[in-house]
Amino acid sequence: MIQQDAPLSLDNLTQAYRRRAKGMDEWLPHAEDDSWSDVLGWFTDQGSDTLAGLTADLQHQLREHGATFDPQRQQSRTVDLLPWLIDPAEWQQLEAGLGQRRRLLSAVLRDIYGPQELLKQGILPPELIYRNANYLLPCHHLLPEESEWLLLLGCDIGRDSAGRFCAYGDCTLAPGGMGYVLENRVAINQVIPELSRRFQKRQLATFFKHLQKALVPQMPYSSEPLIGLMTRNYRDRQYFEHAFLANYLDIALVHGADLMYKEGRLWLKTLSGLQPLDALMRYMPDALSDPLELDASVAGSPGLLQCIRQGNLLCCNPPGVAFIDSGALLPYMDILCEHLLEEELLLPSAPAFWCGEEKHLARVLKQLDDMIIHDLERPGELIAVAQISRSERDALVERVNADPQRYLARQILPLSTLPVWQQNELQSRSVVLRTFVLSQEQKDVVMPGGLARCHDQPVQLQLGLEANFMAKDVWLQSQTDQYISLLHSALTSVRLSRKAGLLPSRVADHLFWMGRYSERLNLACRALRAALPLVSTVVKEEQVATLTPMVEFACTINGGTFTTTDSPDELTAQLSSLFARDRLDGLLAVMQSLIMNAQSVREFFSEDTWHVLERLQHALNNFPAQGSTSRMVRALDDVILLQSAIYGLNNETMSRTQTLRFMDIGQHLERAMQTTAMLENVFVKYPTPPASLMEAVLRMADTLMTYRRRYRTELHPIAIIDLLLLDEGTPRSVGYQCIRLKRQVNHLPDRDSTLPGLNAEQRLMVELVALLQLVDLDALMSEAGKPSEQLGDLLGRIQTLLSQLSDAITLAYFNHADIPKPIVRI
Amino acid sequence: MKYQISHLTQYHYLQDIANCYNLSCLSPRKLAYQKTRKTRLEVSPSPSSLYDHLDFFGNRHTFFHVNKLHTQLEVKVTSLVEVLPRLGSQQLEESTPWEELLVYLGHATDTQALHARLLRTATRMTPTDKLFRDFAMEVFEPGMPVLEGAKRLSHRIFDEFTYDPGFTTLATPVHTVLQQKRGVCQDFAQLAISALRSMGIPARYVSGYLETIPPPGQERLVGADASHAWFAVFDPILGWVDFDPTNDLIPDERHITLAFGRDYADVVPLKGLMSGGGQHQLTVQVDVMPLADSEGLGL
Repeated sequence: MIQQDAPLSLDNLTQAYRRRAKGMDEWLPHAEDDSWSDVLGWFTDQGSDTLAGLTADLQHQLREHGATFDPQRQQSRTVDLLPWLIDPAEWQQLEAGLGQRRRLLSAVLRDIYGPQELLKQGILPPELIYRNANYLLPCHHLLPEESEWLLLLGCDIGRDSAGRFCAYGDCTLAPGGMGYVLENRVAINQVIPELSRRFQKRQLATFFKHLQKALVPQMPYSSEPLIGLMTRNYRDRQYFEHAFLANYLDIALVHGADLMYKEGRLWLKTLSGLQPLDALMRYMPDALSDPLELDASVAGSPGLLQCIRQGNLLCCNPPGVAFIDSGALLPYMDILCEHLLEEELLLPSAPAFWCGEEKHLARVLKQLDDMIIHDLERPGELIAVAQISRSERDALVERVNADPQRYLARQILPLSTLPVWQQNELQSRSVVLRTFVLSQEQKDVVMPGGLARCHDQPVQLQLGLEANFMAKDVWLQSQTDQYISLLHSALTSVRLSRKAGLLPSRVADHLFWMGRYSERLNLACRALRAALPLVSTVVKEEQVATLTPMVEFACTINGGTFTTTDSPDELTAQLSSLFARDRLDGLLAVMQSLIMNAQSVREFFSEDTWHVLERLQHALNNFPAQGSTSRMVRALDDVILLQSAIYGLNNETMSRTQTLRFMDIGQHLERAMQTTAMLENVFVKYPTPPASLMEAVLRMADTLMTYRRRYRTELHPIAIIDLLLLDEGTPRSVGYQCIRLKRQVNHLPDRDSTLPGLNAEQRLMVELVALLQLVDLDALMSEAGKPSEQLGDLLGRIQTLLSQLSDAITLAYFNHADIPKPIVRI
Repeated sequence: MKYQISHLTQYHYLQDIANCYNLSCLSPRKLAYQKTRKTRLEVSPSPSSLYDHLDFFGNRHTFFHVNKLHTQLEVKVTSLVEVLPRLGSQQLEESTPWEELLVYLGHATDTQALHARLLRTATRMTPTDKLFRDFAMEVFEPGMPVLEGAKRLSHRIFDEFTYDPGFTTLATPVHTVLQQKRGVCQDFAQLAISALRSMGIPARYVSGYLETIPPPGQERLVGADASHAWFAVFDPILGWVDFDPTNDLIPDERHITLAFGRDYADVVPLKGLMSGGGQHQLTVQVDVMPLADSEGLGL
């Protein structure tokens, strides 16, 4: 046992590790190297408590960066404190092999989507390609003849039985993991800065700088090319990585709905109109990319293929590439390399066999337990035969025998092991590495390092990125590289896509509605909190009528219905039913709309905001709708408090640009509309409000104290109307909302600065503010001290103008966000 | 035979459409037995972009984008074609026995054979399985020339299936067609294709028109024609030979070919996506007008 706090002995650790490590190891043969001794020396100097603390810090850093957030919360990734040091000489060989592999696969794509000489000359069996679900006929001749098809390749490598690095998978479609690599490096640098600085390692930023350059077409539309990273939607498992990557590369994160084909180009629909897009980093399944020419889907963008065909969009990578990812080419890489490049293959592939060839089928069936089976018609469905039951295995054999052309078998690599720091010792884990290589100005650039993944089961690692794994930062020693950071450098030739005007219309739309739903939820909770105690104290039926306005307001706030009743129990029942899960106009539905809009623009909110949103959802889901009034009120207190937290966080963390502005407009527009509706309910529909009701109104609007301080009288309708409708100094009054909306509307992006005068939104706001400022307070009250007809007219007019404002903003800024739908479904 | 074909498609929308993207495949293609003159495509309102491209099979597709507010979209295609008598369609019994064809396709890799190999691969609309295979095998005897078998299959579909325009939609799976024995021309074509491919025999989907001949003593009705579809089967010597299971015919001079592909989805006559609009109404009018032999097409 290792003593706590005592310095660790490297000798003891090494001996213990040596006993455990079976087979090839990445560290042991190099244990005496300066680099490894240096790093492990530093490690043992720290002592086990410090290392345990650093490990915890590291996971915390990753969470802070939002890396571990995913919508299903199924994946938990961790990073090991101990990096993987790869021998520079071996890495050099690997780089050459990866560059060659990219060139080779690009040449294969050029041929398969062109003359198909490889099939005519019998180099590749035609069915291997034809039966591949990701071989897409509409992509034929998509690029001009000599084009580079594959700009970016992710390649998974691991050690074979001879100890050589071997490629066991290619990833041409949205090669995942680049964002993880960055996040891991950033976290490691923050947690062990001393060691990380001391080790002269090659910098990742160099690679990303090349990637940025590779994404700039030779003839961009303007001197500041606009580049997008196209993601499917926020439900995509990798969404956060996409957002992270787009942010780091300083390119726009776009959905299919943000794009529009017009006159030969693809345009980004932004608040300042359409902006021409020069290049697209495509993180979306091929078949979903263009609903007109490929599969009908709302994720893609019609005209994408046409735009590429016209040579007006650089696509990284173009649709059609993904048949490579099925592994179909693995068995043929040697012969393809000799044939197409007239070179010897530098990076061997894992042994793989297409069952469509008879001699291979026999071999596959003989060694089935060592195999991972790929289904060419269902790419991505990998079956490790050793992991399935006897009956599943029999069924698989039957399927393969019945239609061998459909299947490919890949031999499981034994993989090497390396040490990870776990439970105060060096434990041994199998390891694989996802590498990345890109083509820039006819040069192949390999990311110095990659996503190293560790697991105790070698098979698990070879089934894809989905499985839970422990990541490792990869360090390559270097003397030459300078420190380059994209975040602080002017080296980039890519224009800032996050300029206010370039906010996609869809994003603004979601933010606006997030503001509206968030306020609606808040007001509903406040109304309930004010109404519930009133209802519970009612004993006589004739009192019920006096409370009705407040209950009605709470029930109808999200477009619901209210049934007039004399029974206090029924009033309570109507209020509690707002929490019913199946009510489309209930509070949970508002919450759901709020979450949906927030999720659609996830990258704009901090991790803390998400925590609070989750707690909010939890609080509403578990609302004690059947409980006592005081319990319900306490629960509402919590909900309202959580909402203030979100409001505060957004103000603290969101950039003060159009992003926050659209949410702010949504919020205050909703507050103005609902407050007007409430005043109408209380003073117009039921013109003699009792004091208890008026007090509830003030309580709900959080202005009871203000009222008391200011008027020092008993409650009077006209004073309340003054405070909640006209007073521009009360943050919950309609007057205040209008002043604020007017200011915000003036700061919205210019749609057409050539037009003189005010735009529709500005005109509406001038009218609204003037309307309120010119009100004759006395005329709102009849001589009997009751609100006059004029009050009803005024409130009605305010509501009309507010909904016109909502429409005007929608028309001017969100209308682009419409997604084309199929006319005729096929 | 010479024809003037007009194909008019009209969409009426309840609300304004701001954007509409379309892909049409309505230009009759050139073939050994079909001469064509450039097809005229008129779109109203006029599109802001319109581009042609050839697909893998050499069919012409036209992409167009209408980028102004409209409540009605009209696509009118006019073409002139001359269809010649086909060689080979009389010699079905001279075609390759189907077992030999399968062996041949196991190794042949010339361009024609590669196309044939692609066209025996299942697609989403033309799946292959044992049910389809059994359906085909009931007419294919051992050693039977492949085109003879195809003709019998076409006849069997004509014989046993009911032409029923109300029964199927574009989304009806070909399995349902086989089960219910009902459908329209494209269902029958795709059923035959599924059946043949399930045996390993290359088959392709052909989209086009058929000249309708009015009953004796009656006038030809203008605009009463329709799009048609049938299938073709591959023989290494005779090439691709067409069969029309809807009419139990071997297509000849009255069948005008627009395009061919793996299935309907490869050669949809007109498909589109729009933003806004809500509900819509669709009308299609096709007119296949025979021209007198003396009328020159300028071909």
